Amino acid sequence: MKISCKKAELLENLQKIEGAVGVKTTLPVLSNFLLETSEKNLHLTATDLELTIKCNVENINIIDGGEITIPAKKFIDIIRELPDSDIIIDVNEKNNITIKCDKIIYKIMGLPKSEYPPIMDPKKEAISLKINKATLKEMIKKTIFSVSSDDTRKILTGVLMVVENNEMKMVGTDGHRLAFIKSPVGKSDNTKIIIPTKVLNELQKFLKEEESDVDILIYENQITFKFDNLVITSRLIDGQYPSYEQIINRIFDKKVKVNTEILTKAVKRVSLLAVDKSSAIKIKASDGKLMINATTADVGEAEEEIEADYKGEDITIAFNSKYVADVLKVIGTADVEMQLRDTMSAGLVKAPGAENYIYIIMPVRI
Amino acid sequence: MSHIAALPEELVGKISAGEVIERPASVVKELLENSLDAGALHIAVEIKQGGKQLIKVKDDGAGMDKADLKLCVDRHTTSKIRTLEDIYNISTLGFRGEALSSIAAVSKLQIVSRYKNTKDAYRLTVAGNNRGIVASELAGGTIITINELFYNVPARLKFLKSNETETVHINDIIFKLALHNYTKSFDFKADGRKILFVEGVKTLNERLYQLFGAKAAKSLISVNQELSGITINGYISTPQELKSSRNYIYTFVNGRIVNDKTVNHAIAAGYGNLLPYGKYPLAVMFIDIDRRLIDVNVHPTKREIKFSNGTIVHNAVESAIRNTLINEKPVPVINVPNETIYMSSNGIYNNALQAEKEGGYKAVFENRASFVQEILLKEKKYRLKPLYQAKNMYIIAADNDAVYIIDQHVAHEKLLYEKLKKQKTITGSQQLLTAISISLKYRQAKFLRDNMLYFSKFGFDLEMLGKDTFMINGVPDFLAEKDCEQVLTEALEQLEEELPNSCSISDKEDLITKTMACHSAVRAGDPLNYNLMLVLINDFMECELPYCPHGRPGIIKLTFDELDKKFKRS
Ligand SMILES: Nc1ncnc2c1ncn2[C@@H]1O[C@H](COP(=O)(O)OP(=O)(O)O)[C@@H](O)[C@H]1O
Ligand SMILES: [Mg+2]
Repeated sequence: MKISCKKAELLENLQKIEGAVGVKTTLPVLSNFLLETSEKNLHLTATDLELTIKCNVENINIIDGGEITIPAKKFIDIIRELPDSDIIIDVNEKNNITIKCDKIIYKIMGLPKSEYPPIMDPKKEAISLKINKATLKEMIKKTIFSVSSDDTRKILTGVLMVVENNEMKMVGTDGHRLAFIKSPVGKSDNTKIIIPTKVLNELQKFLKEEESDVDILIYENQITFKFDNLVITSRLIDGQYPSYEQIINRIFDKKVKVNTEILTKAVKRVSLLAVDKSSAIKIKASDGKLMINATTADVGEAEEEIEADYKGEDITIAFNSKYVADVLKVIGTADVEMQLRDTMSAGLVKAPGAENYIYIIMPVRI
Repeated sequence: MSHIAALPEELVGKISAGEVIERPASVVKELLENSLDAGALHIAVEIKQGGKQLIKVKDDGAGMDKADLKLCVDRHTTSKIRTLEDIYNISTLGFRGEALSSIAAVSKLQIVSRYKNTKDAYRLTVAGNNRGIVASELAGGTIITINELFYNVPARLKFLKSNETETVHINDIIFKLALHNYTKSFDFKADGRKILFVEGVKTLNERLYQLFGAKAAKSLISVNQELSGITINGYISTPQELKSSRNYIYTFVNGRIVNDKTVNHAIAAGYGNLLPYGKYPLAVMFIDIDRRLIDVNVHPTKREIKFSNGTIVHNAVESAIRNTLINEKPVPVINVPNETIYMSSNGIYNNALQAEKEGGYKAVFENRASFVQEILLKEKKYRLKPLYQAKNMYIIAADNDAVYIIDQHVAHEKLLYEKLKKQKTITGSQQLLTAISISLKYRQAKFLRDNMLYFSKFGFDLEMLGKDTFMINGVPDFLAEKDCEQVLTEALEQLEEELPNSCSISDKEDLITKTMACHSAVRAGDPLNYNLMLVLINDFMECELPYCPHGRPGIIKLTFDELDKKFKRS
């Protein structure tokens, strides 16, 4: 195999697949990139067997067709350090790789493609749908932070994706708070799957805020996203996701509206006292204002009052400050609406007037 | 014919001797106590064949004049008390007037003595019924020589152990008396071999260096406390340097070697949960109490005493130890072995050690900022900065004095434990979006049912569904990121194993607290971010005692001085 290409072009594409390279893997070849040529293109692949990213590079000069696997970290480090110029990659039949750029020559050893595991093929026929890139990116951003980081509850470490009635819904929860978002999609069959966060993180990185669509193909045990020159495939998490409908359809009788930025800063300041990541802040809503308070047994007490749009009886409720801060970070609107019921019932956070994004937090009983 | 007959004098003597003199070590104890009572500053002991053949004690005390010398070997003769009341206000170690007569009854004894400020010395010899006193020569003090102990009590002789064992017992006694009487010099030779020699020193600390060696002495922390009229002075080991035998506990009440249950229990109680099962501290405790509050006359060998109020003694000892451990916050220092300075061969305490000791373990703890304002302004500066998390297990940190290695699990466990323990109110309970139901094994279910109250105190919002099924509605807020269901079942399993059937409510609560802390803490292998490490290690350093609730140490300190020495920079 012998190819030549622009350094910048190759590097950019290698970086797109880098995230799928196996890190702690028992199969050493998984820490390699797979390079294959077709008639006009170079195909890059990386996989850890859970997540696979394929990238198609077009502006390539194929001198000799072929395929090889190259130690990923070494390869990307070399390419990164090369001058901005044409690179020639030459592989001989003993899998010795020569990388040439101007007067610089690197030689590294690769492994034959035959060592690389066959990439999983989908089991059953796919459901396919299209969704706007920017929309998908937003949906991921607004749910992914709510998932559980506890590997013993595998199901909750993923994001639920539901497609039904021409709507796509995504849910993230760790059992204490839940984020729900929905968006219209084109006509499609219904489905309900749990997606690992790893693939969603990669998507977030490479999805651009533009109008074009992402093609989504859902199989029995995997999902594929196609956009730009990428094909990203991930296994799904198997299992029964807890039902969320009841949770998001709770009824609240108190509504408070505050400025997002002011609330964010107040929560941050007050929770400085709450050194533990799990510390609670008390929120008290009374006519026209919100009182935020944190008390830590041996450190002290912090309190801040902010202006709020609220009329009704006083209510005090305590939340884990991190749960509140998390949603304020992604809400993306100037104001935020909080709906409450009583001290021991869930609270809801959303953008005023918008119904597509709902965030539910359970209180802390103190 | 009457069956009862008065025993001949000689037999009575032998019988009562048996109570006081069990073995050569008892002789040595009595003789040394006499020497100390006589105000001796230098005491030399020499024995042959484990004391069976010869015991010789030489002192430079007040000595005896001819009349006293004649009398001292008679039964119940003493210069130390005159009336019964005197026993209850006694300042000397002896008072029963039994020792010399007892010894004389079962050995061939010779005393040479010269009473202070007189010119004449006399020698008394006693062997069976033969007694003689003649003029002699002596620079001062008293020399008592005992030959052939138990020569006339073959039954007793048969029960003596090997020469080595008897020598060990004698050494024990001398060691203990030397410990308490640190201003005096002690010299002990067995079969011509020097076994122990210590010069008189000014402080107990110096004596500890002499007797235990620099390394052990350095790791001890001093106890000084007075409570309800009981003065407690001494040294104890850090929970880091525990022994596997209780033989390193030396207690003295008003200067008497005692082995008292109350005192021993109080010492263990002072350490509390820092003493793992089967571990004991090294402790040298001088307990001084109003003489009228103890009865020393309960045992012929005087090794037992009776406190008129054992509870206040127990409280005093326990709180002395506990407070010491809390105040010292002993952070173990890695010892640099080649720097250990050994006792010079002539036994004279090396003063350079004092200076060296200063660089020891007393870490300076910054006062925790207590004003909200300060914290809000982020002025709260943590002294200790985490540098690295090694193997996702140990946090490496440093400040201006030292490098620290902290076990993250122990640190977090301890913090949680302290936090839970202090929490007077109920721990926050993070409510769950959907309640989780759990089914438990019969015994665990029963345990949970019986102790629901404690678990709700810790923030578990539980509801009983059936006999073995529970709903978890809320979990402790400190468990937010954990699988609470697993923590609960693990804790229940452990409690079921460990909790004795009958134990006090406070013990039970403590065990539950410990278990909860242990299972909720970050584990070895959990990656931690910088801020979490920062808070964790600094708060841990401020804990009452930087050990895990089960007594495992959580921190190792390596001072830059030590490092300099290790790298031979100095
Ligand atoms: N080493 C000694 N130096 C001075 N006097 C001694 C010495 N040993 C014994 N005596 C005297 O002999 C007495 C009897 O000793 P002992 O039989 O041990 O009884 P106790 O010590 O109970 O008084 C003591 O009271 C003391 O006056
Ligand atoms: Mg005596």
